[in-house]
Amino acid sequence: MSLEQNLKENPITTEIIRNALISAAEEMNESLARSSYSPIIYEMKDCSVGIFNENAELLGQSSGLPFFLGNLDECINLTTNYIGGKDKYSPGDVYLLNDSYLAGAHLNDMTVISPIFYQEELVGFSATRAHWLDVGAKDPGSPTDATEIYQEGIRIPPTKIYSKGEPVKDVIDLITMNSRFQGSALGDLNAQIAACRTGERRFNEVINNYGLEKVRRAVDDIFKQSEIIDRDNIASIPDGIYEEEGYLDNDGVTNDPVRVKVKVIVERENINIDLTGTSLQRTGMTNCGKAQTISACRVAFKHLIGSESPVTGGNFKTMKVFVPERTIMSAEEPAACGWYFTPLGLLIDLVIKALSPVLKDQSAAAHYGDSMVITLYGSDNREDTSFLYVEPTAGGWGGFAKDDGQSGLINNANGDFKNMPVEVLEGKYPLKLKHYGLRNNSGGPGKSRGGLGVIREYEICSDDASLTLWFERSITPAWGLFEGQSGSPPNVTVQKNDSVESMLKVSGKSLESGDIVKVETGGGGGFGPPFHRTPELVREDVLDGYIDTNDALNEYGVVLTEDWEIDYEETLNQRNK
Amino acid sequence: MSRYHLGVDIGGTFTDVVLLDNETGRYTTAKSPSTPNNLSNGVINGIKKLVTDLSEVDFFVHGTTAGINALLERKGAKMALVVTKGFKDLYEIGRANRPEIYNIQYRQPEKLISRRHIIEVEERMSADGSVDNPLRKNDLEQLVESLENQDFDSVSICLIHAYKNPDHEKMIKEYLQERLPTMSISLSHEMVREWREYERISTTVINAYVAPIIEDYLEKLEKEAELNGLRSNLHIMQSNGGVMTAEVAKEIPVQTLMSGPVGGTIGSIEVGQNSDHQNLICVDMGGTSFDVSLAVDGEPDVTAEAELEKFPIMTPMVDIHTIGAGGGSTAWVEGGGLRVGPESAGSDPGPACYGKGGNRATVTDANLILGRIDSESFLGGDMSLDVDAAYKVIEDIANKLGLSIVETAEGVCDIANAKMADAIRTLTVSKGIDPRDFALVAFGGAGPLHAMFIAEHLGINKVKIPAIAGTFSAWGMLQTDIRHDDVRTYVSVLDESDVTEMNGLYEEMKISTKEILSQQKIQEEDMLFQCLADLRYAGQEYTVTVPLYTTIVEEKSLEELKESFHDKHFNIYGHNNRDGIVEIVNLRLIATGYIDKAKQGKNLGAAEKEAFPIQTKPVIWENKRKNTTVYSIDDLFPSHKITGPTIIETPSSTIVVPENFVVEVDNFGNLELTRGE
Repeated sequence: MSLEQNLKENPITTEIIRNALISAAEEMNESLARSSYSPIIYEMKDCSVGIFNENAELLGQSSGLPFFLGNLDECINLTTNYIGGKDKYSPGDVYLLNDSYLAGAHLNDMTVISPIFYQEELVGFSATRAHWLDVGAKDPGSPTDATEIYQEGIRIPPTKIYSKGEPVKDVIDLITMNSRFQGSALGDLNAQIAACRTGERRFNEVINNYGLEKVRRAVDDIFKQSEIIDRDNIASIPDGIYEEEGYLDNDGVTNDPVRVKVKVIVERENINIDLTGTSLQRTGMTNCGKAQTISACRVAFKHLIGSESPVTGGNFKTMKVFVPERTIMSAEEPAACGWYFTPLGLLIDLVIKALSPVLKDQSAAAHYGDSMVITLYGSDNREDTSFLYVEPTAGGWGGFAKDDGQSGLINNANGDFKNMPVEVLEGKYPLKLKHYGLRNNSGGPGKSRGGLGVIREYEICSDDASLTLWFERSITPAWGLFEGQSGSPPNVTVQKNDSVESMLKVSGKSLESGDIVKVETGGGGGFGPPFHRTPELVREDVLDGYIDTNDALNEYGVVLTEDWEIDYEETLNQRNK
Repeated sequence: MSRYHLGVDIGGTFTDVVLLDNETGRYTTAKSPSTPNNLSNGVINGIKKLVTDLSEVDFFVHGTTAGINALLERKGAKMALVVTKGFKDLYEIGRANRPEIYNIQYRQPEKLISRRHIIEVEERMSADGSVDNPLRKNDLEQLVESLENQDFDSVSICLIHAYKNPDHEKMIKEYLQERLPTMSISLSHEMVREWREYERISTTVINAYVAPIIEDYLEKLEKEAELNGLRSNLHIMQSNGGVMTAEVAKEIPVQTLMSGPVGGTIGSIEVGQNSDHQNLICVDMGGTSFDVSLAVDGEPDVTAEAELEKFPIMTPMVDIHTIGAGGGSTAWVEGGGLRVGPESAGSDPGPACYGKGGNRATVTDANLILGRIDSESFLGGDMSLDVDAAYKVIEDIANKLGLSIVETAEGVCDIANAKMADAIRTLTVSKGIDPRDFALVAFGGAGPLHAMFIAEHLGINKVKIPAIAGTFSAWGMLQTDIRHDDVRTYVSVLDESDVTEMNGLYEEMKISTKEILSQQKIQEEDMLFQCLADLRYAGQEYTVTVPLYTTIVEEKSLEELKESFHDKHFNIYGHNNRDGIVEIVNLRLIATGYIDKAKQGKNLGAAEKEAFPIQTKPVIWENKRKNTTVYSIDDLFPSHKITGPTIIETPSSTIVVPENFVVEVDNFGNLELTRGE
């Protein structure tokens, strides 16, 4: 019997319930994003919410960051096991956890879980994950040079913070007092709990409308639909083994490049991703727990071949991820995990690259690769207070079959993050931006050109400031596809008086008033042979200054006359050379 | 006082005209085909159907699509943009965000100005408003040269921190006016006095982009109207829910962008008021579109920042949400499940039953099969529908699902209705509102078709359908006052705020808005000023706008503001922090100029006889075919009471009333539907 024939509930009821659950998750996210205290949640949307059934299978989800696709379920299961089974939950309980080896991400990501009861029966869970600004690591925010998880902040196993609707005050205090910004930590925690309550209320309303049995049957059907869609999508990819590898510059502490290796095996309706050959766990912070690695593989799948339907507990049944033990993708004690998303960003790009030969239209050349985070902190002379400014930097995205890559767009790990306006930045921090713009000539040449990276030039207006940098992907800059070329790698310079120094990663470098930090992010890779780009488009790029006449000639073989017209004859000669 | 009030709204297909005769208190309406090539022709043609001598028109208000069309079709001005040196690409980069988080082929919308037309000038203001690098005259001569060489229609000037100190923007304008006297110039601080440079640039640029089109259009229309005898001012509906004179509209054309749809929200408030409904969900549904707006305590829900065509606009607008569900939403099968939307067949080819070559099943096709709409009287009989084509596409889906055609058709409608309800709920929840405390007002060709089902899903008990649902926006425009908004960014911890400085800023805004009101012939005694402040807890980004109780800030005002903020924060977000530090971010002022308004219309009085249906026809209700009565709205009067299931035909739409609703008629002919248990 085929899966279709197995569907039990009326498809109309099923669809109405499916939409109601998705919209319930959206309401949770709305509640969380708008009431949290940390910009990293409300502005960068570094958060994720979901509603689950009693077996911790996903019913509806809304995610601010692509990476958080599907591992809240894992956190619920771990919590249930940790406390000794489902019968230990009571209505009104709330649990919190952040341990990297359980939840997969860094310690700043706090997961809040709340059981949902209907007439005293456990019927599901609501869960939220959000990034707290500070969890008591050795340096404010997040360090770049930790070598053990104990330097990264407070580590929390599944811990009860509300018991039967009453806050467990001492435990909440214990946790929030470990943050340098206790008020913000408590504010964010309350926002997460409020979001869980929203999910609980909406799920109960759905059950009230349709009855528990009907909802359960519909949920079964929803899962089956997701599975059918996945199976059909995978079956449409030619069977085969697709392999790629790439490198991070280093782990921030030791100098050796970090290797990520993927082998994608497609066989009929099954897809296996094997990460054998990936670097063993490192001294620096480029490690992550396995739960998050699986999540990243799901994201790659979703980028390339997933349907637009929101993910449910029925998805990914025919996808298997194999990771050897104690690698950077399956870290164990005491590996530091603060920059867990850096290798994962590369992993996603590599899966896309590996499958691009058979999914040309869906693929894109690589983007600039990582969050490129600049952190500036110190004292603010104007108001006699301290400041902490953390910002990921946008860059260029890869070209694809139909169009050029986007310039100046935030990296894949950061989703819908919005940059901080210059006027707000200068109003809030003792910093001045001298220049913020696109980095000309940085996009990888191709029939579809890679997008441009950006330049941001900060002038320090504090006598006691420090700089921390995490810039990556200079060894493996954004590659091109189908004969497209790579984009430019990133570059950062620090100018003090007359001396100029280049660096990509640094921790707590001291700066004073007048020093200038200039960050340049990479461009995206090109797609298709550059000589196949029409001379007209190349000319437009020159007129807008995205590329100069040298690149037009050397990379694209296009010759322009002195009054900016195309010299077709010379262009033909160049291209036929 | 002259005799008539006249409201005109341009739609995609028709231009709607509503005329109030003050002597009789009666409204008459007319529709005339819109004339996209010269919109004013359609307007004048429509008006002439109702009144020939415009000298008798005392108040003429107009909602125009000229601006929004220019933006949608990318047919605006050829522009240059002048920015602070080092920031040429602010406009192109925007906020660098990627709203489609699983799309690796994401592209931002194409910008209205290309990079080569953005010019940097050397100058710089600091965050505190002091001059960091002065503007030099020599550099301006260079600017003139680069502007002279190409034939730009307009130039926008948007400098960093101009919201705090606009001197350099003003100096550049002065210089350019002298050297290039015909150039149209927009300054960012005149558009918005608020921080966040990308949003300010975007607003200024859109304003400049539509300016020549609006100016041209309004001048033509004014001339035509004058030729036909108009002696009073032409008023234009604004996005913020008020009106302004054509003269002011030429200065701030960005405020005309939502001109049309806003009329519906304002009209809803008026319709709600005569049955004591202050809290309304307003649903405007056309053949393929679905717009939702809210009114709380009898006031339209206005947002300080909106997005059009993915471009931010930082001027106050009635918050109109376009929801990706409507009559054009397509039904399809995925993984053995039935899906409806978000894709829409649009209006061309549109639903299969339009007979324009559409081959995908839509909600409209399903409604036709169910008998909820009539093949001959859809949208007031503007087009006849192809029933066979509808059956064919729905049958295709029914076969895939193993359901009957009728079951599938009703399922498609149920799913669409539930999805629209979900979208409305998410919207209300995000604003801290419980939809069950609201009444629903439905208008537009398809609004009354779906309203009762949506109300059912949301647990709403009252639905109002305006008597003239088909020309409702034009009618709503006659119910407005003149309105202008102003804003100043003022960042300070609330407790440490300088009351004198705040009063200074409010006074500045009062003076400038008073001038705009006077320019529109509003007497001082008809002006009302309301002061508001955007507040947040320190560390938060989003602000909550709360009103001051007085027009002067006193010491106790700060405490009152704080209390209102804590309360409102709790209402919206479900929690607050009374010990938290509260910050001011912006000060706002709303200036209202009261104008002589139209009355609702003539009191209808009780019916002389019982209501008789014009026919009965088979309609599907919960998978059963029932002979159903059909009434004409013209036969319904205040003492009538009709119980569902029934269908009421109006000249412009069809009202579908399921079993558990009771229909009554208010004194002005609007229908009020009450949901039973």
